[in-house]
Amino acid sequence: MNADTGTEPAGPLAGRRILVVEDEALVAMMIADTLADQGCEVVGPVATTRDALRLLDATPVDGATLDINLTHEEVLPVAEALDARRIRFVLVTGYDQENVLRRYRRWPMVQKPFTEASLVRGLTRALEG
Amino acid sequence: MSTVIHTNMAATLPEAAGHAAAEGVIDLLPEPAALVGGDGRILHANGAFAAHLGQPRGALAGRPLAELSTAPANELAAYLGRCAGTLQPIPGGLALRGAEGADTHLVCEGAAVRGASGAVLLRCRPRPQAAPSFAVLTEKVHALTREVLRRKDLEAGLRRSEERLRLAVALARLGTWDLDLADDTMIVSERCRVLRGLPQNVPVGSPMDRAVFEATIHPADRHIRAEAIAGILADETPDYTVEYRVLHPTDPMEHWVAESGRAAFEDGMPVRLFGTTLDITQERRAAEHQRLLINELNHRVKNTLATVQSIAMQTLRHTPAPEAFRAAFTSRLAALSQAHNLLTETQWLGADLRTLIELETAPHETAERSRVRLSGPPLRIGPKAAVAFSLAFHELATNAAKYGALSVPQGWIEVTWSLADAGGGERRLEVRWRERDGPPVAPPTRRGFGSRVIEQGLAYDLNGSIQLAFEPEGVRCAISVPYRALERDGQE
Repeated sequence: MNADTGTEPAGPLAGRRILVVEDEALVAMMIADTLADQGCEVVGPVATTRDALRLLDATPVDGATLDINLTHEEVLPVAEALDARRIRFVLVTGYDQENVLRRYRRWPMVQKPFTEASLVRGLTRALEG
Repeated sequence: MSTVIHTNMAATLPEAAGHAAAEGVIDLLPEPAALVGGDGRILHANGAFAAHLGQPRGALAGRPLAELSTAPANELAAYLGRCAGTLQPIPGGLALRGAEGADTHLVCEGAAVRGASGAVLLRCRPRPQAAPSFAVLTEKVHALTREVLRRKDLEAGLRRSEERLRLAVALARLGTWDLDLADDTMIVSERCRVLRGLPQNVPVGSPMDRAVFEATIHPADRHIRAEAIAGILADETPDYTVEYRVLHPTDPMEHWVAESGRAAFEDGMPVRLFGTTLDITQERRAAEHQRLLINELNHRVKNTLATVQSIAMQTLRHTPAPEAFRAAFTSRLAALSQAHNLLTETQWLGADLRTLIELETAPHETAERSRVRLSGPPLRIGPKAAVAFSLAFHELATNAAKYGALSVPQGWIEVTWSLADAGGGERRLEVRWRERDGPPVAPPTRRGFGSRVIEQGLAYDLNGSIQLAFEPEGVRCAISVPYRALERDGQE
């Protein structure tokens, strides 16, 4: 909880531009808040692959958090577009490791529900590679 | 004195021959004959006599004739008495009964023996086999009939038993097959042919190559059955049960069967394999469906937990004081729970918009009059929309109770909704929230979680546009959402 510290932490994510793709408004807000607390510049959040790809074309990003299952679609095209640009990201999903489709297993993952700490840790590791 | 007891013999028998002479004559006679003393006991019998009556010859001498006679003792004595008094054989004679199991009875004529006083010579012939009496015939017919009926019963019993077995096999949806290990041919039942998707031209009831049968097994599963069969052929286990997929020639869906088999051995060598095949496709599909449902439930629970977590964290950001946090957080959880209750009633297909608004505003109603007046058509909205609307109306109502129309006795709220044509075949749901007769409203100094949920949550989740206005005469909120976003299940 950095909400009431009022200071800009100089964490590993500070100053990074992070794309947030998440179709649940409340979860998107939480991710955005958590990243903002870390000094990130949040790009989005967006709820669809179309909006995500449009943002990617329009603005540079340093990393991303991607929810695998969006409303009526999967986030795969965004993951592949990020890979093609050599931009690292972390997947956020309610599916446990067992049930995550094979095509997503090569990317780092954070389980829902996540703590602020687990999200920050997961994203930091992903960006460090 | 010689005695002639038969017309032909009388002249040849010397009168003084006595018993001994009579006995010698008897031995020469070809027909059964015996000499009986005045006391009714047998003095001597020839071999034919003994043989016909089924008695050992030596055992007859000295035995009372009465033991062999079918007539009562007094009649026998009377007959013998008459015979003893005449040299002429008295016809109509005496019937003698053989031993148990001997096949003949003898009919005898007796006459006195010259020189053997009181003795009677019996000369006998086998009694002609009498035609069986009607009673005997009837009894035999009955016995035969009983035997025929008994066999018929047995056959009917067998047939019923076979019928029961056949029905059981049919009702159990069992396909059966019988593999001859000597020549690797097998016979399959019709049910077996159908459920394994064997071609129509595979003959039912006549031998086919086992390879044709085995080709119906999914290649990836063939080892399962092969290993099980190897196990029973090696006599390691008495029988086997395996489940595997079969290739259906026309249906691309996965078909599953359960197979059980047992081997028959001769001289320690397996000669035959008998088995059943049961279609378990439905069971497998149901199990798979259940697995998917559980995964989906797990996923949905995780998402719900993430939502709850988000509510907790954001509530904490805006109301960090413990008492205020507790009240705000628990009432928000209750709002979320109400939405879930509504959705559960329809198996998460959707919820009625009016019911949903009523539930979220009910805590602020009073018995005297309705403070939240609803007006709009019946409308079912999808799960994602239901959750988003529940949380939004909860925040609106909570704010009204704290600062707005519901904070004073005379205040009330008007909620209306309608479907509007937005052009291009698009329809939009327009919802209006208007607070009336409340205290003068001042815009909040900072936007809290409530405003965020209303303005951002609805807009984000439902692709809608929201206008929240804190006007002096009362809060107004206008929500406009594409109808398409409401209908579709927004759950992941």
